[in-house]
Amino acid sequence: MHRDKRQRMSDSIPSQKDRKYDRQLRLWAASGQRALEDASVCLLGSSPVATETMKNLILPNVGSYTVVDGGNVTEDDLSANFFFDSDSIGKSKAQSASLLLNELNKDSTGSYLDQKPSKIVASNLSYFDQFSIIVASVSSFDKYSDLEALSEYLYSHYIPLVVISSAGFYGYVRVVMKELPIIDTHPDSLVDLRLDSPWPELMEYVNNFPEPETAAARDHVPMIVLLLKTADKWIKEHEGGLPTKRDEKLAFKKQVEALRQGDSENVDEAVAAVWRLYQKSNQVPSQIRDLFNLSAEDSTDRDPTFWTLVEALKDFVAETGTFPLSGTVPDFKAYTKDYVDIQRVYKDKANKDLSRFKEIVATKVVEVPETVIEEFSKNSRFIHLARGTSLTHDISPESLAQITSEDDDLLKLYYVIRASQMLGGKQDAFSIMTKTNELGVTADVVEYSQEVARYEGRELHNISSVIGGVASQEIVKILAKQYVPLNNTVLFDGIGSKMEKWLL
Amino acid sequence: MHELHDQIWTSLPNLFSTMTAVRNPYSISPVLTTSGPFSDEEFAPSPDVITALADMSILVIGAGGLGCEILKNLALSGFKKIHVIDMDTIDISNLNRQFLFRPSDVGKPKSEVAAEFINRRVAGVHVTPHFGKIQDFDNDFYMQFTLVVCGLDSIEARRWINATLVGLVGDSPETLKPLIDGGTEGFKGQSRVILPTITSCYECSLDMLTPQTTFPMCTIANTPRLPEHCIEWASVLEWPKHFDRKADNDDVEDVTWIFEQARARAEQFGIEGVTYQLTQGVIKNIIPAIASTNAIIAASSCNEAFKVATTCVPFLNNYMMYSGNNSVYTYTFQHQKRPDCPVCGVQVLRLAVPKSTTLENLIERLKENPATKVKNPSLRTASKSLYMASPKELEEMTRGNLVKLVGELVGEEEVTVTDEALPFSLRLVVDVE
Ligand SMILES: [Zn+2]
Repeated sequence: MHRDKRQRMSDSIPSQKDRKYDRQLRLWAASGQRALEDASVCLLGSSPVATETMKNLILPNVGSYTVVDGGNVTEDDLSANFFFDSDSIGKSKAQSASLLLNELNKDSTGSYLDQKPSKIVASNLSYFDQFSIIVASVSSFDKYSDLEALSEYLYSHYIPLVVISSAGFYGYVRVVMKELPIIDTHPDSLVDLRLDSPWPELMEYVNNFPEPETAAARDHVPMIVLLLKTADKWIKEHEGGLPTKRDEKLAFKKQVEALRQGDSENVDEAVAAVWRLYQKSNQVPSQIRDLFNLSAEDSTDRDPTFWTLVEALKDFVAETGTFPLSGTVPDFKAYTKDYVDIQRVYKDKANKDLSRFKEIVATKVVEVPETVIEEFSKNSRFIHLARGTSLTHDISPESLAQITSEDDDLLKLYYVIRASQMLGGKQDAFSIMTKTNELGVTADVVEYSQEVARYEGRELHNISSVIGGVASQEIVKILAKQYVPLNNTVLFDGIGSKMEKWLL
Repeated sequence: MHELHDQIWTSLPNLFSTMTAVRNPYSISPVLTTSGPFSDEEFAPSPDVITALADMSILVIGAGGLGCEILKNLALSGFKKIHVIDMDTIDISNLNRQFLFRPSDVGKPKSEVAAEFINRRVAGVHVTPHFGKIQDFDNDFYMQFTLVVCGLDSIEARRWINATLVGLVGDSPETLKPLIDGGTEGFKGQSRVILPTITSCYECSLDMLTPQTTFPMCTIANTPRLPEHCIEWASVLEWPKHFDRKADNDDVEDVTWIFEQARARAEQFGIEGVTYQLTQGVIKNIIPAIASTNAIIAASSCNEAFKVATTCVPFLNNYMMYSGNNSVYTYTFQHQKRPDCPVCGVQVLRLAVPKSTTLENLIERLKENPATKVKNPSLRTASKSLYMASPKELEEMTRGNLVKLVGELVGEEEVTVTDEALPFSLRLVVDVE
């Protein structure tokens, strides 16, 4: 478990509700849960892939959802759908599905609209403005172009759209979002030791660290102290500073290894952490530099909080040459007091950076809540901006150029499925092949076209459930604004039992 | 006469609803009654395949997060004779993903509630529940199934069923029961297909598991640094001093006691971060679990079960990993069989140890070694018992060997290692360097 998570957990005996959601709170914490519970989802379609996706959002307690579909349930609709039963036959699909979905979790509020998605797209696009996210099953549309029209509208309105599709052994998820900023991306580690550029208080602590007098004390000297002392000595001996060349680095590592006497777990830790000395704390990662350049672009629909924080970060980096310190240290062998003291040195520095960062934020126009500033400051090195495309971009030259000459390139299959959907979902192999070629795919797609044709657009429950799982994972990440979401297409091949993803 | 009429009348609506509710094979018929460019050459598409699927007995192990999904998936894929084993009862923390259970089901056996739900929702499917441990069933029980789909969170149970199915393999092809195994942790998971004795088995891949974090006892007792160290101190060292019984990790009072002790110790040392949730997480070794990941892994496992059962298209050979932490990442590959696998291998395991190794050191190594992972092993050679963990009398008789050097005790002889938790023995040759 990430060590920084625990501060966000409540300090007392959990409520009934916290116990119910305990296993997911350990992933996205109370802040993610709140975002999920504030969200409203619009589900277009009620076929297995749609209801399976919705199930996985209702269970973790998405705030509210609306199932939209037209038409009535037939015997065939029951074949692979867990959320229709014999009582559903002849009744509204949207109503029947929402009735059985509602049973999953009384905390989540469900409703339905007995209307064809295509009809809403044609008559009332602003209907979708009320939702946090739209989940659209391709088969619920009369025409693929209706879905494209919806995609264009949502894209320009900064409302995320997740397109889901399943037929036979194949399925895909296509995420459409113009821009999604994420502060807490859950990197593997937030540890930032600044060994390449220790600040005065850290060096003071290291220099004052007493020489060990016993073997036990020697085995408990913290690895940070071992590394910084060895580095200090090296710098004094080599006027130029820390080692840069390969042979210098080897020689330095030998010096650290020479500290070993007996068991010396702490020396092992120091040797394993030597690389941290060569991290460049003053370097701005390229994806953050891109953000700094983007922040000047203005749009009223963009997340004002995030962009204010990016502006402030840009100022902070310009002023200090580096990022606010996260304050997270790893575990290492040490006496309790020494460990706690070092932790304190890092925390104090992190708090100092945070105070300065807050001052800068305060000079901006948009007011940002304290907790958001704190989270941003801590994660500033790992913030992420997902920038996607609309569905129409699928057939752009740069998307099509990603097709390789490999026989089993699944991107070809994506276009075959898309072609069949543009033809209405149930076509012969030759028509699908011809349509795929019309889209601009020149590679051989005979076999994929034959395979897709024989499915007749029918969903296999297992494939729909895989896709429902993948889609709901992405939707949770988008709604919670945590982790890094898919950008933007993943396809599951249930025959080869593999997935591939692309940015189209 | 009147009575009979009443009887017929009362049973009619039931009969009628069952008849209309049986779900038709609309969804699976294209892939079973036609063949395509990727179908196996020997596959003969026919409506008979649908009938065969309905007649096949399939066993599901676990009715938890994966199990609920697996039961639903099989029931909607044409399987009709399904058995499920689970030893657990429903807890409130299951409800965020185990969708066949409601708050009013808390405390009831998972297998029974899950089976009842599926039987009610998917008429025509019959799920038979077994409330108990997999170890309670004999070989005849397992022999009746064509395949086994596993959705467990316990390594020990997986090792047991894996070894049992490898042990079942005999001369006739029906004795080979494909095992499809799924597992999840947070946004990650994996599913795999095991053909006992033919492909890599669960035991073959034991060293792929991430080792569980353990804290050295001296750190816990003397130099704690992390909140986890304080929690371990309270639960492992302090609890037995105050109570004659084991702590119940699901009981609020017991967990609260450990939490408060741990918090007091943390305060005394200036350590931050001891919370009730963390305390529970550490003492129960809680693994985060969410609906979406269970759906992905269970459905990909059942997709393989469907392909294995029908042979309509090739099935997974033999391992698929999924991770959703950072975008979507998957990896499908063939895990290799280990020639020295104690369950399906043919070679004995060779372990090189320094000359100074005592029997006790060797046992420690077997416990730590990711490829063996024994808990409380007994060791013997063909000629003598080296160390017997139980019964008490034998333990006392063999305890003296623990301090002896392995080189002197064993020589070139093969050592057989048995462990209460494992349904097989490990063959070992120690090479003293
Ligand atoms: Zn094996």
